[in-house]
Amino acid sequence: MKLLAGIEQPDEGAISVNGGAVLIPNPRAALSAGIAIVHQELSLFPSLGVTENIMIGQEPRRGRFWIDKVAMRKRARDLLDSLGATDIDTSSTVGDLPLAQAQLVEIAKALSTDPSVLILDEPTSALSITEVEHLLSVIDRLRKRGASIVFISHRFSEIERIADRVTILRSGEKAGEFRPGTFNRDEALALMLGETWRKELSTRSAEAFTGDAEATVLQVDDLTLVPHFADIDFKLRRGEILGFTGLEGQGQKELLFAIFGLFRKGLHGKITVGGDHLLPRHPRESISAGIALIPDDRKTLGGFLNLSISENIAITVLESLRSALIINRRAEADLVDGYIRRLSIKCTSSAVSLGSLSGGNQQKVVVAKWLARKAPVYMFCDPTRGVDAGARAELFAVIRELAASGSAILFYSTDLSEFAQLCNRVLVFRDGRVSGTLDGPEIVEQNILDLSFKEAVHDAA
Amino acid sequence: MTQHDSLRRGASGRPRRIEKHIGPVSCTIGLAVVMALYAIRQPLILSPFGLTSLANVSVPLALAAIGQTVVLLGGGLDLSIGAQITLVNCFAATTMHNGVVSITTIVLLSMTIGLVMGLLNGIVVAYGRVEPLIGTFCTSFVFGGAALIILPRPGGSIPASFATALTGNMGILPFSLILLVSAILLVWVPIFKSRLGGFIVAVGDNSESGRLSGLPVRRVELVSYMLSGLFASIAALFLAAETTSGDPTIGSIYTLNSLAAAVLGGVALTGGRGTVIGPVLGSFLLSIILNALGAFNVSSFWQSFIEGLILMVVLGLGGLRLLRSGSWLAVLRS
Repeated sequence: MKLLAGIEQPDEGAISVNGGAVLIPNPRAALSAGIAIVHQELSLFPSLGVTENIMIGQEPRRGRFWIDKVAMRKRARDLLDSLGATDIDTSSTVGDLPLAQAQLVEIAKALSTDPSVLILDEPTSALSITEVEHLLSVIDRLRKRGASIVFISHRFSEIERIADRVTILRSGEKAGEFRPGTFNRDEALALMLGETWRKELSTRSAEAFTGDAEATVLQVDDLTLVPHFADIDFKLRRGEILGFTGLEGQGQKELLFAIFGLFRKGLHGKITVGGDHLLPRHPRESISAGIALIPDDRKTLGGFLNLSISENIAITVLESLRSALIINRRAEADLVDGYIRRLSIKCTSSAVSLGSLSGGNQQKVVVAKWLARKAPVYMFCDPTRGVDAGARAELFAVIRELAASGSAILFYSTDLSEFAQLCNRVLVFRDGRVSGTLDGPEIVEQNILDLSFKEAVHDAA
Repeated sequence: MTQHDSLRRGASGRPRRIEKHIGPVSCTIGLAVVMALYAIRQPLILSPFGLTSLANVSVPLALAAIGQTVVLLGGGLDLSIGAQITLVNCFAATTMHNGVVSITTIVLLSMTIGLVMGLLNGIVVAYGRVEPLIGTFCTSFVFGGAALIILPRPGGSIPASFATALTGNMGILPFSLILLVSAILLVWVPIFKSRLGGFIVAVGDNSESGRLSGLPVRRVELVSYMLSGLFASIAALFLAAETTSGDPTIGSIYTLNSLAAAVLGGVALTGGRGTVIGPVLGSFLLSIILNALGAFNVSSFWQSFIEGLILMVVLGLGGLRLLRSGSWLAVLRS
């Protein structure tokens, strides 16, 4: 994908567009060769307007020099309308738009060059279910107009819904291909993962909690934070994996962040950890109460990308590793190597930088950082975002092991299929409130969706 | 759910829109207050002569601040503006003679020197990948050193005709304001009506997106520094006309002041956001405050102390806005 975009250069081989071989030394050349890309990490300018974002580099001009603002606005409007995004105002600032609308702006921007090939790199990874459905119908419409589209996704349901032909890539090699109408989930999964993980995933279903029902570690009563969530009550027990599910953006993420002390004001209610009351205003308070957060955004929140693996892991326990003012490097190395083995973090040495690891392994390092502090409560906030299927399975194994060793887990994901694989119990969120609880085998996507929409239907009636 | 969404969007959308105008608006208010206080103590300031002298102290800073703003919009920083002004000032004062041919030649040469100094900054920062803070700090010594070689101590001369043409006045209309407005109309406006201006702002807002969108990111950065050099050279020519001589220390105050004026006028230090009117108003406000301090016999030591305080407060205000938000994430992500 990066080769086609002109971001990286091929070692060998050739790229042809419409039958002619092209060289793509930089992103500009990709555009003029007729390849447009919708990047996973959007390539937008948050301070600029929608029109400017869509038309940048393609500005219509009057004469040689002046930009024709009227024509530019009209073209942006047309592009958005053709995507069915009639509700996006071309004069609003992109940084103010919700992610789903920004995604559509990004697609309109890619279309502004009239590309022969449109590449979408995991365009749905940050979208909610309804938004995904809308995006897929947009892509359908583009296909009917004769566009050639490469759609990259980890989610089978989207592939089944949208793709004519499917190519499976594993570790940089083509692992297999499905001709139109022959796509099959089990086979695809096997191709993606190799044989090792196949059994693990396909046989797994949710299990009810079997531990000590009285061993409450974390209790939350009437927790409210306007406008994100209200009146949240739950108990979390030792060894339990509790999921926060529902459609995206119903307050699940904010609830985790609030428990971790990321909101400075407005939090009301009661949080009890190990018998102590807590209403954290700063992550320091939550950390010292024994709560750990593994966030979705590793780049800015979870770790120090330029520091080594060992520095990342040891950072939360430096205090305990030092004698007088000197840090005991030998003890640090032992500790770090232990975690690298236990979580099977794939790396050449503990001295390489966190940024050089794959997403899944970065996430494991962040987990290890908290393991070193022996936190009783772990909160995972969409930990598999941008993580491939193999690493995800390994990460899940780590989470299960944590639970088995007596920690309590809160889990939130934007991928509904993950809850069934992992959780003992889920709370379904709708509009900042819990609209239902599912236990063990009840945790299937259909039930989650029913509860997610139940009240919405009720409201409409 | 829709109610939730609107709540959230309102929370993030509204301040941004206010933010866009807050710099220019507060500068205008500040300017009115300062002028009123000044006029009460010294009514003569409202005479044609008084207004012209205020315009003349403000215009060089305004020109420097516009140059700084172009670089800031492009996501950079120019700490060599003061030294660029000094070098061009010394060059003009040692070479300009009476006569239309000499004056025209030197003005054009001065502006070329400005562009070349900007080119050097641009090469160092955009192609040499040196942090703007360090890169332009280094080049400032090159430019300042060159100025000292040309003119080791204050001296040189500027033809009276050139001086009057730039610093005189016609009734209450100072020629310096005409110079400022023409510089904006002839340089700023065409650039920001063409794609180049859009590219500068886009690259400053998010250079990675710029690259992915196929923009010539490095060339755009280079050009932003060249424009800064151009504005610095115009400021230097005006200063030469005002003092009718050259001075190898004359530019030094303009580095920090141009930054302060731009920030006062609402230009974001992080790039991509700002107007031209904001820094101009900021320059007038800052210059007039400093001028008033001088007129009221505040010692020059206090002047620089107060100037530093103003700068600190202005730069700090941006951070204060963040602390009002309820989430630590907003603070982290800014």
